[in-house]
Amino acid sequence: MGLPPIPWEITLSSEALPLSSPTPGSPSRRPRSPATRRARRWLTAYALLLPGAFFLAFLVMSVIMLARFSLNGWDPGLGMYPSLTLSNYGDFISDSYFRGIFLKTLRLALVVTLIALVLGYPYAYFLAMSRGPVRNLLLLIVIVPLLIDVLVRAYGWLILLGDRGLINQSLISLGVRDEPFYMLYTETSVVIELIHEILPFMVLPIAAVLEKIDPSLREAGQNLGASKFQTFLRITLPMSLPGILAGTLLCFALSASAFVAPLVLGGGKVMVMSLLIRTQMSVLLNWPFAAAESIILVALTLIILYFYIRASRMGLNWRQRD
Amino acid sequence: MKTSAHVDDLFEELAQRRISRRELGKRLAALGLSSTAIAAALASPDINRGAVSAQDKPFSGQTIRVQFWSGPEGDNIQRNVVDPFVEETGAQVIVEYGFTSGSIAKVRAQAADPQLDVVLMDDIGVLTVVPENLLQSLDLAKIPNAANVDERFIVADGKGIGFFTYVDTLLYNTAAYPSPPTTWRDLWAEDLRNKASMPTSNQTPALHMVIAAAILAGGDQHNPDPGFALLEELRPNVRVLAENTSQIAELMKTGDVELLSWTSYIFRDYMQQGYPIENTFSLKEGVFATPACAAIPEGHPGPQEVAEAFVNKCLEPKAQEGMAEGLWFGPTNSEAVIPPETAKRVITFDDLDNTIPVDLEHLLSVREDWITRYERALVG
Repeated sequence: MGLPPIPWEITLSSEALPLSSPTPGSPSRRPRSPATRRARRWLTAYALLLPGAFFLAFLVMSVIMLARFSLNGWDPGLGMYPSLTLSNYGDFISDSYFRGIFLKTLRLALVVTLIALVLGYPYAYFLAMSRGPVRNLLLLIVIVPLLIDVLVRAYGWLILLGDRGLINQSLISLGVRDEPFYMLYTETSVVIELIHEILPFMVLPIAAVLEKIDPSLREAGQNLGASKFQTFLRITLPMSLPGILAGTLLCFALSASAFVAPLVLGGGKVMVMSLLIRTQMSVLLNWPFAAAESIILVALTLIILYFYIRASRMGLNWRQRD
Repeated sequence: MKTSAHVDDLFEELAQRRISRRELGKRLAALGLSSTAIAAALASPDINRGAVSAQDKPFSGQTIRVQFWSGPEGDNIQRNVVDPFVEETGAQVIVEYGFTSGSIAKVRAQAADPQLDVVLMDDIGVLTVVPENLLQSLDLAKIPNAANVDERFIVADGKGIGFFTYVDTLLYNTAAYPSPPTTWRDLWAEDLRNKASMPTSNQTPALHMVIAAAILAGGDQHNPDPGFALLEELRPNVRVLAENTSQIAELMKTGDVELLSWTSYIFRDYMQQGYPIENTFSLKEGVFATPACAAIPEGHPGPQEVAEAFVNKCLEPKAQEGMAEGLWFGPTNSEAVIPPETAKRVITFDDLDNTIPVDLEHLLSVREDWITRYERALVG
């Protein structure tokens, strides 16, 4: 005895299927106009943004307060007093010492970002191409630094980079050097720690973009006679530019504002903007000047990043036209 | 026996007024004591004495908020001042931590609504906030131990009172220096490249270093420019600016740092553990003695008499003897008796005349300028 036939005439009737199209005039299923649908989409989007906006409001308020502080005056005996002056900005820009620290901060951030890109891209590539346990292992290796407290990590590098640390002991025992190489409390040690700290922020965005590239595009290129290197250069690399853009932006911003690495591994001898702000804010108690330094750091970093994003997008658009 | 220990704990809680007699009875019943035993216990003179002794503590139920340094300094004050004060008076002391610059910042930030009742900080911290009327004048009549404190430790016309002194001097690795250095000039030795350490700019010892360099260069604290020029020459020798005690102690132990300008008691615990570190008080130019002061913010929220009692405790001979033994804090109370072995490590009244005098009012007026110039000289 076979299965009973499916009563198609029942399943297709509007009475049996309440989700079917309503009869004209039925109030529950009136079709919405395009304007209404757009409005609902915007309303939904804004509603989803509300929790984030709540926290963003505190950030914006803090920056506004900082900007206001930066216009105040300061007296060593009295502290900050209300005023409307640009003298703090003028003092910063006109002093070669402060300008030098700002440029050093940007230089360090740039060096760290470039090295992270050179080291991070191949890793991201292998991560994107891997599957199974190998992929999981590669992912774990890159995520582990994020699970360690930044101070603990910095102190770990203190031990490794010391004159009698693991690296120097290895170099001396291998006969590469006769005496320790002074790495600690120099820019070198700060750069090393920062690279360790920000590498996940370079690898993960690039890997995410690389994973989304259709493999058939690479195959098509090779089928048309391109070598593996040409395929990488003409297909993979350009298509991974959004990931490179995201990674470099993150890494540059994090490096420019780094505090723990210069503090612990710089030994007080590597002065960057974050430490300068700390001296002004908590040692000299010159809050207006510290606020001005903070605004300058954020503003100029944003300006640099803006032009970087524009240049990258122009490169992307040019590639698409090619 | 477990039950006996539980009963003792309950009696203790009653004595400290953490539970009522009624609650005590309930908990004794829960432990399985008979009603007869419970009644006898509640009626016993011992119980009543315990309850009364809690009430005898003069400041029971009262709270003050005190700020002082963290780390070994804070531990020393906690052990010798705060804990005995709490035990004797029944007051609750909430401790907040910060160096002098942090205390200055906090007192200023809280000017409209002070939260601290007592602030312990360097003398220069007291002088910094005095012009802003942020500290009250201490009523020394209500601080009996102040009668035996030398007047040179009364700061800013009684807005602060010194309760210990510390010394800024040279500390050295005993393997590299079989005999102690004799002059501040040793920091500039050519064979000390990358082997010296100096304090960070946020510390008072950094300002003292400017004075020492000025003296070496032919200037003085009122003419420090030669000193800053000399500090720039020190840059190749400076391995690290000292801020973290354990970090510097390890560097001294491994010989990565051989000579250091800092505070003499900083490495006491490490020295007692056998680290090859020593300090010297016998520098040709002299050493620097700084009084750490107790002060009461104007308009503080807690009970005035409790705050004054806390300051009085800081000046107590027994507390100062404990602090001298604990971390080589020099006493300010002439009644404090310091054993000979400890006396070698602290600045006593006899030694004060051999220190480099510091014009605090002048130092205060140039502090911000010197901190910035010090950083520029050493960091570049």
